[in-house]
Amino acid sequence: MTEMPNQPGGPRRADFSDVQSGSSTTAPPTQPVAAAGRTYTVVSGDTLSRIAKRELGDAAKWRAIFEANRDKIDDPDLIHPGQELTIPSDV
Amino acid sequence: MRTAFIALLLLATGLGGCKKQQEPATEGTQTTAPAAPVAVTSMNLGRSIGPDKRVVSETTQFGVNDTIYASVATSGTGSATLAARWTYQDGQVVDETTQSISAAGPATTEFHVSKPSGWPSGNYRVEVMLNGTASQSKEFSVQ
Repeated sequence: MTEMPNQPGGPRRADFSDVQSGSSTTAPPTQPVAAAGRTYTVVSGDTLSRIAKRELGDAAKWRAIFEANRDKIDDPDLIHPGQELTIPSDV
Repeated sequence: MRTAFIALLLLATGLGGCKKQQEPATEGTQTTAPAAPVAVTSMNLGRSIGPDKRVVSETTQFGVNDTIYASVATSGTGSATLAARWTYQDGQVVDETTQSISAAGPATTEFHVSKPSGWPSGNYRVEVMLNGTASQSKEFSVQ
């Protein structure tokens, strides 16, 4: 429990800098692509845009990969080496 | 014979009238219920959730080391963005988390916050927003 004085004479404000948060849902993924795609394993240095450029020929199609893997990716800027992603074939 | 003929004629006319009444009032139109958009139906707070994302035991009083879960039930179909905004006392923002959903019917989305160093005691509030609009809120306390 940490409280920090914010301003001299002002109200004391608590320190929430170490708060950890998250979310999850029972809602199904946006697109049922599991059966209509191939699997790609993320390597170091990959981004969704690079994967989209390499696998789909267009970096702008990164969102299609993101949407196809919403059950594995929460943040499109954060993917991990070794992660297996579905590359949709119908984009 | 003539009486029987008249009776048969009346019966046929009557049947025709019944059939006429069964026809739809407006021809060429079909009534299909439009898909209802996603709407928040309830929100519950608790210390843990089950596989269905619902809180196991609802409460609004937490300990300083608890993980606090907000379970949000939605109805309707389509894509939507849910967000949970957690605030302390007079409105100091604790955290805000966003979750996009693509619902095909009733769904449950959970948001959770924890604080390894312990929550400051006091009153808190969590507000759930649907597509940027405040939908439901609950107040809770940490002791």
